Amino acid sequence: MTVTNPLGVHARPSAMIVQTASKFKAEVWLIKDGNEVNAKSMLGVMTLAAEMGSVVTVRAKGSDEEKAVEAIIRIFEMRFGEK
Amino acid sequence: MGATQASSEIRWRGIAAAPGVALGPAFIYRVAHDEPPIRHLNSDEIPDTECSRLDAALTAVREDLLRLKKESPSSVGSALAKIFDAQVMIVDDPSICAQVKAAIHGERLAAESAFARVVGEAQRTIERSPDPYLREMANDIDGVKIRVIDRLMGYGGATEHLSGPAIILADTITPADIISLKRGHILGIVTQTGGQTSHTALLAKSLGIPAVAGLGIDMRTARPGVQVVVDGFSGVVFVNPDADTVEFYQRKRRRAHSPWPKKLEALRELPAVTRDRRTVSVMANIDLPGEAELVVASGAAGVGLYRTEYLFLQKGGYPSESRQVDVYREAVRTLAGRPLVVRTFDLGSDKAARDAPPEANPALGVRGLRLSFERPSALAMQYRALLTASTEGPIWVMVPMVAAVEEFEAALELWNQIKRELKGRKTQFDPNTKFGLMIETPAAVLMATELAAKADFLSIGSNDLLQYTIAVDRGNQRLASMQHPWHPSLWREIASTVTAGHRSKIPVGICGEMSGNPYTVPVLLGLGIDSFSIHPNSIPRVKALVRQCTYAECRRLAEKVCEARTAPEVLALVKSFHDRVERQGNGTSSRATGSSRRRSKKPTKRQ
Repeated sequence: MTVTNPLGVHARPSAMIVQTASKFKAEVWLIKDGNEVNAKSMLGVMTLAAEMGSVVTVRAKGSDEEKAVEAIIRIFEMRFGEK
Repeated sequence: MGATQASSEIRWRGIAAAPGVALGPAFIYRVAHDEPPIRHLNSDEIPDTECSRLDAALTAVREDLLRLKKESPSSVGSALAKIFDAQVMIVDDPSICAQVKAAIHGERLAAESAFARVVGEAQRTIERSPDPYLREMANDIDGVKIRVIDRLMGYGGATEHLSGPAIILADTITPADIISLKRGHILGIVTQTGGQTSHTALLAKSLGIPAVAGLGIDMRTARPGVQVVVDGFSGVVFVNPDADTVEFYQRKRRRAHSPWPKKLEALRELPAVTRDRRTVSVMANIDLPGEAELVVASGAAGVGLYRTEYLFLQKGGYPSESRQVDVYREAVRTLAGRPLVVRTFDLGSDKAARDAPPEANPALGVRGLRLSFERPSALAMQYRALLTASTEGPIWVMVPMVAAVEEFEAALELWNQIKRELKGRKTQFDPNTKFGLMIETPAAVLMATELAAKADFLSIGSNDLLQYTIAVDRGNQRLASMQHPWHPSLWREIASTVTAGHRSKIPVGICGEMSGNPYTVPVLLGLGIDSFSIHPNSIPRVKALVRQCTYAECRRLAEKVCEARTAPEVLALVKSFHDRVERQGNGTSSRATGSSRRRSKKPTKRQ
């Protein structure tokens, strides 16, 4: 699944991603250019954010994987609540 | 010989991170925290033992951070709490723990070496980020790294203590470290790394500690105890200063402690009264209760806008009632009888609540009073805390973002209910505590008469009122050219708000960018505004300006402004008035008008 985010992901959004991902039982990953990080890891998401371009893939595995992916996509689409 | 050496002054140039001047002995802080050596486990050491050491260290650091968060002074609470929260998230990070354990097992590394490597790699990636805010997080991570490694290597705590007042020289220092050092003892901060927006700089600013960052110099080259001068205005540090430098900075420090230019010093304790004897209140805006001291020193008549949202922006929920009572009491006591106008929490829009769902158009969304009503118990708690603190001195409670009379009535109803409740519980409070609202929507302006009938005071929030009146998003750069206070529409709104308030015999104040602008102050004065709430640093200038004007001439100016058809017409009117007052005032207060001229070079860019 692919999400575009023109604004980039910085520290506050990173925390939002981690908090959202942590709500689910499923393992959640963010992938960019073959670089894969655990979406429940603050440091992981931040390192990805540091190199963030425009296309990020979300992957999840577990009992609530679909909901987890949807939730992550939603916060990307909402542009992390920023203008 | 020794004497000549001692007099060789060294001058370092860095980034001015927090204003002020400090002189004192150097305390070299934590320069020895190089990465721990890579240590492989001996054959008799078991990786599982290292993993449990890691778990224990992480738990201990987590506890330290939570304790420090609790201990941090209320005046800087929310900013700092966020940093500690971020650090706890790093400690809790499941992937760090997994990667470190993998390195312990796979490469038979000691826990501290594995931890340093894993975290160090992530840090270096983040430091390369183009986003300065993210780069700043690398510092927070560093704070955690040092703590964990210190624990693992058996160092007592992450911080040593100062024996007396000193200037801290460090390659980097985290806000947590500043708090754990004895704060009263930190005269100034000098760091090799960091910049103006670093958390450390922000903390230093709110604690009033002068700081210079980003010197790029190894602090170990300074001798412990050597005299150091920190000039947080220009970003210069002198090590081993000579007598002239010391004398110069001692004088500068005395001046720096007062926002009052020498020529205006005499005005500090005088009221803001026009030449024809109309008195207004020139008050100050604050975000942190600790700033109340600054307000007193600035000669302000009180606090006209205390924004409590910073108190409420903490993770882990809103501040408890008793915490709030303490904070409000502290502020009101410091003000020693001067009023404290408190705006109840105004979250949303550009200050999004942490747990609020994103909105497509936050400026028109759930913010201010609307958000408060989504959380009535939090609002009730704040009202209770404010009333409880009201026994210490005058508190005025102000409701933000009102768009309908019934909204304000609902808030008032809750307010009265809390009063009855406190009376029933025999809790002391000042029954005359004033309850008013902000006028910051055109709807509130149109209904100002009805609102004023119910309120004890009105306060015009000029920034939002402008945004909603001309329908221009405050944050929209492409519309920046429209964001100026010369729109006649805005002036007519202010005029009718003042009229409505005065008809109900209640005072009308104004806060926001335009209330401290030398071009707008005379018009506001002429419209009959009773109080101005501005940045503490602007107080001398505005007071001086008020004292140069007459109410009569300001009224004539205000009438013309309200009749104007276009913004350029308004601008021409205020400019010519200002220039005339400035010419008249020449000689009596050249310093004040001089700074006014500088500040208003580009009047259209203000606000």
